[in-house]
Amino acid sequence: MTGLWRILMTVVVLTTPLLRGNGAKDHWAFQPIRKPTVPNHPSGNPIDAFISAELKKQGLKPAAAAARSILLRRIYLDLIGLPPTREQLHRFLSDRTPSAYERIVEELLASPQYGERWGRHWMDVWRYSDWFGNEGKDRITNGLRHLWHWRDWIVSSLNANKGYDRMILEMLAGDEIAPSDPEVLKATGFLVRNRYRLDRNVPLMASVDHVGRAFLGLTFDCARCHEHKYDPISHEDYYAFRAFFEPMGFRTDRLPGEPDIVVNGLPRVYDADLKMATYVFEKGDERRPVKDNPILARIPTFFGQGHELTAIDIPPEEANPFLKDWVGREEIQRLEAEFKRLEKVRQKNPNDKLTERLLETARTQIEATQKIVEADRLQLSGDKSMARAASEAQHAFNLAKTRENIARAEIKAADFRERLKTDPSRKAQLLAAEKEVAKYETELAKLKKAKPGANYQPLAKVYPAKSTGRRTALARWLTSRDNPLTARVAVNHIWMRHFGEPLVPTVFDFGRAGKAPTHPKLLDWLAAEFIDSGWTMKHLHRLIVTSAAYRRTSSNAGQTDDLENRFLWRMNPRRMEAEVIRDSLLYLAGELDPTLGGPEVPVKDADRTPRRSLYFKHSGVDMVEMLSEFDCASVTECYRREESVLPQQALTLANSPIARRTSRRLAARIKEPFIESAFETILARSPNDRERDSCHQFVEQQSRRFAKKLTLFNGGPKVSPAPSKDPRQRARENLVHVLLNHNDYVTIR
Amino acid sequence: MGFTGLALGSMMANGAPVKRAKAKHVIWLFMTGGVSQMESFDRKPALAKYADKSILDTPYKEIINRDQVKDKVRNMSALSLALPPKIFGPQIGFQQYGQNGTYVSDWFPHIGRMIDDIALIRSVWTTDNNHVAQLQFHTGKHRLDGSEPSIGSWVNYGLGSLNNNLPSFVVMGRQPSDLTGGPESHGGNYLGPEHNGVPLNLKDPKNPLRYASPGPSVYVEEQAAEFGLLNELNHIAQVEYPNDPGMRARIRSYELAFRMQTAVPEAVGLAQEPRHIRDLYGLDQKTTKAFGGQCLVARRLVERGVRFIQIYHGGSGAAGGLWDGHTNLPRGHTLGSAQVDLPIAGLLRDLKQRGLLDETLVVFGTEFGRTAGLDGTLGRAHSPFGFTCWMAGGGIQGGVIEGATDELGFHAIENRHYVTDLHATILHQLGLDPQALDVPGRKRIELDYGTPIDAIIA
Repeated sequence: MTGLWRILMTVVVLTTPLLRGNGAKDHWAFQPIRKPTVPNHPSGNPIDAFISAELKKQGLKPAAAAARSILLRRIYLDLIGLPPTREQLHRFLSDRTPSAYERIVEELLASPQYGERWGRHWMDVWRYSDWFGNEGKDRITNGLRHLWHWRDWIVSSLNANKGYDRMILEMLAGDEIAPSDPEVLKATGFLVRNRYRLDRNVPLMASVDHVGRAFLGLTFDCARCHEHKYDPISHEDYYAFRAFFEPMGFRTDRLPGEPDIVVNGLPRVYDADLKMATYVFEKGDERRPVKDNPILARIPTFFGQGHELTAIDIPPEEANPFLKDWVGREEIQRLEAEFKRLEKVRQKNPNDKLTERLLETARTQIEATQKIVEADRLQLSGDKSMARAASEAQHAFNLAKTRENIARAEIKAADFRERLKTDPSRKAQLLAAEKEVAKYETELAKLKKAKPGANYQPLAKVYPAKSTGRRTALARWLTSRDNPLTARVAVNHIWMRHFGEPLVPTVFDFGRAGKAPTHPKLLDWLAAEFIDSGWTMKHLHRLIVTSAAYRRTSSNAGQTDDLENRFLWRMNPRRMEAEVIRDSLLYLAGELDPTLGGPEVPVKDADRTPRRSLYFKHSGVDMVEMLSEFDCASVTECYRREESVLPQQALTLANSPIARRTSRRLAARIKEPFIESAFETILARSPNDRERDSCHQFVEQQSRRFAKKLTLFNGGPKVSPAPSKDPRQRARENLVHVLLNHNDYVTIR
Repeated sequence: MGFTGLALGSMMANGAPVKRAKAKHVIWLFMTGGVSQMESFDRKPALAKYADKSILDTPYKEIINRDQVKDKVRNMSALSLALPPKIFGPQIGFQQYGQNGTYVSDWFPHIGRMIDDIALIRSVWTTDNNHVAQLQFHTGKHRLDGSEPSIGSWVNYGLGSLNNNLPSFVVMGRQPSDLTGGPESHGGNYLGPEHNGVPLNLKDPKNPLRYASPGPSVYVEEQAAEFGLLNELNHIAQVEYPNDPGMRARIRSYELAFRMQTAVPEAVGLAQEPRHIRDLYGLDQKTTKAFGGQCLVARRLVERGVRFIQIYHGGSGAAGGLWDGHTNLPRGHTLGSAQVDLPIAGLLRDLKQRGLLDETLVVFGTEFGRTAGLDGTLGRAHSPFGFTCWMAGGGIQGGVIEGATDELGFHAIENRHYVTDLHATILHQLGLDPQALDVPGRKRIELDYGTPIDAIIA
């Protein structure tokens, strides 16, 4: 080590803790959120007051307001993810009352499509993923089936304008605050999506890392192996944070009406192991836990005490679902249906031995289930009188089941014995089958000898009657008025999705390695206002989209300063998100199916299912190709979408069946004057003279072209409907198609 | 946020200035499921000597408990770290090839004849003992340790393209199964989707690229006129919205897309290839046709300036695949090698005769090796502890052998190379510094970068 290097290293070593501790105290994002005074400004919208003050300081002039037609398209795409129809455009343009725009805003915020549009945004931030990876017979590796319930919860919570604080609480601790309410339990899909069958550390790490990034804008993961290099999170803090989640387990509850949880059910989190200890992992290596120092759940000490932790009682019928009336009833109904089915089989084959056995199994199972359900219920009030009867019924069922197994194995053995006559290679299989018969016979003999005891086995797993309350405590701290980060981070996410650029460029890192806000006072005012309004998002949307800043043109013509628009003198043009591109195509063609919610739609059906894009299966391995081409969210993390521009995207809009089909269908719907209407329908504006001339000329030339001898493309997808047989109409279809490929179709101007 | 993805077709590069580049292209051949090192390129006479004995009854009993077993490997799924102890003798014979008389198994005679152009690396190791090692081989990271862009994406990111009409990172063959990472093995991850490998489907040579054609109801002239009008309208709109990088990029992306429509089918069209070339790749034999076609297309793509061509072989719906010889290894390896041996040798020969081998780095890889001990019926279990990969061309020395495994071919013991050393070697040969290819805000550790394998560099 050279002398200079040694000095440098010493400086680094000495100053690092300093940076972490003292420096952090002054860091802007760790200061309490106080509502700044709003500068004087005539508009009355504080957003404009803050932005104007900054523009004035920079000597910048705000750009003119956007044309009303452009503004209308912007607000439609922004709030509901679908463009306005031509009729909606005309109605708006002819409505000259001062509050015409505000009325549209209210209408859109009240529409259920608002929840779908903004639900998808939050699905990005909250890492929505459907289950994936199925090894063998329904052994799901990642997540659990039916996570779509969480997606539907997101959409409906937004539509109901549920407070963001409440949403965090429900997602992190729905099972603790409302253990009997499936509508709240659905929210815990946020944690269930982290489930990983092969390693329990994975969901724990993911929960720490992404609660940190999504809600706090902190990169906890840096402290997994050592002290955080920038922020006041020690190595031990990381594991103390992990301890909030340590007892966590995942399960699928039955839902009324569907006994088979593969078909439908409610995936949810619960505290499975209340005593599970947390240890610091040396250098982050799970094989090296520091076992002499168990870590308790707490927030990083720098941020104070956090919220008090109280254990929570879980209602008995949530710990043992068979205590719910309908669960036992539906289970017995299911078994009875099976019994009836078997009786019919017996009618057809009256002498089949296996059927007899199966019937006996079914009969005894019904009886055992009835008795156990009843015994469970009596035991709740300390009455054990049914326990023995239940145990006996269960014993009878076990005997019947074993006899059934013997019968099955005997049939198998007989079959191999028969085959062996012509095929000597069956010997091993026969021996195996005979072994199986013997095994069950021994089991039967044992069962016969054993007397049913005073207690019975529960019908299904019984879960703990308590929950640690840790996740509730965490959620309460996250959403407390004193938390300096949660509201700032959320407001920044919302702002970015309206303006294309966030106020804090590093959306998931508000720590000291992140970037400072461009408008710190505006950010704080919005954060405080957000909290004061009861954390309601619609209030924030309304404030933002009615500001003059939001309504400016996105053109930078004639401007030379601040071209990157750091100070918001104009609107930023944005590329539509993948889902908006696809949904709008279907919508323009009149095909979009407006059905809200429901199970995820298989990816393979994407081309022929006109549902909104957020309903397709979306996971680590399932992604609609068109959506991934246009930068849809990675399920690993997507705090901000990319806006790539790729030739493959051009090919998709130029050649995919959905683009061609839409052009043909849409052309048939567009009324005269054609060029004018086509522009208004697709780009929400009129063509200028040059555009009108070009398009006119194109339609004329293209119509004539079809009379000539032309070369068809060789191969490629077959698309229905076929192009129009009328050359003029076909030329118009082409024009529509060109407009759907226009830069200003995929751009939110 | 800036507009990303303009790099396709541009010469834009994110890497260090390309000074000492010895290679321009990479052909990455990946055998899905784990090729047996001791029955391909790493002959172990002790296996025959002690066949059917327990490893514990041989002089090599310490092998089974080497530190690597407990320490380096992360146990995935139900697989046990307890290694099968009963030695499974070699299932195929070996011949000597080349100037040094290097042994290559009779499953790979054609590659054997090219051994003087090949550098064998017999000491590769990885840490996943199950098939997510497929992903790890491409990204250099164990699934549980986070995710990284694939090596092809790094190359694409670092160097940009040499051809304005073709994607510069192309993928062929059946991608790994969903459980083992699926498309992530050619994914750009945090580098962005513009650095994903672009899959080409050779089963439909007229439509190798998704949506490269609008379908048989559209006229070529009709579409050309549409592109013309589009260009015109976008330029008119630029009057109102000048200095819009998104708009500019989009106009260019349409120009590129238009050219790709003809360039991609042209590049994969093999109709003009003469008989002797078809024979070289085994194009007219049932066994070698599919993989041979991919290899020949790879050469054509190299000629057209494509940077990174990734070919998967042996994948199936299951996690393992053809090379995953737990049961009846001889059968799987006989079939697998029959499919790839001739085409790979043909590819090397063809590149060489065209003077392209000097600038094209060919890599033969697999996710892990196999155990010395018997698994299942006539099979071997997964062995991440030591296995063989090889490289040829692109400034790599031919006829050399790097590293070694122990007497039973179990653990890499000499000059051990983690999978990212292969990555680093590739980047180095392309003139890129792996450490310089960092992306701010993305934490990588030393192992993620790897170290170029000097011993095989010419």
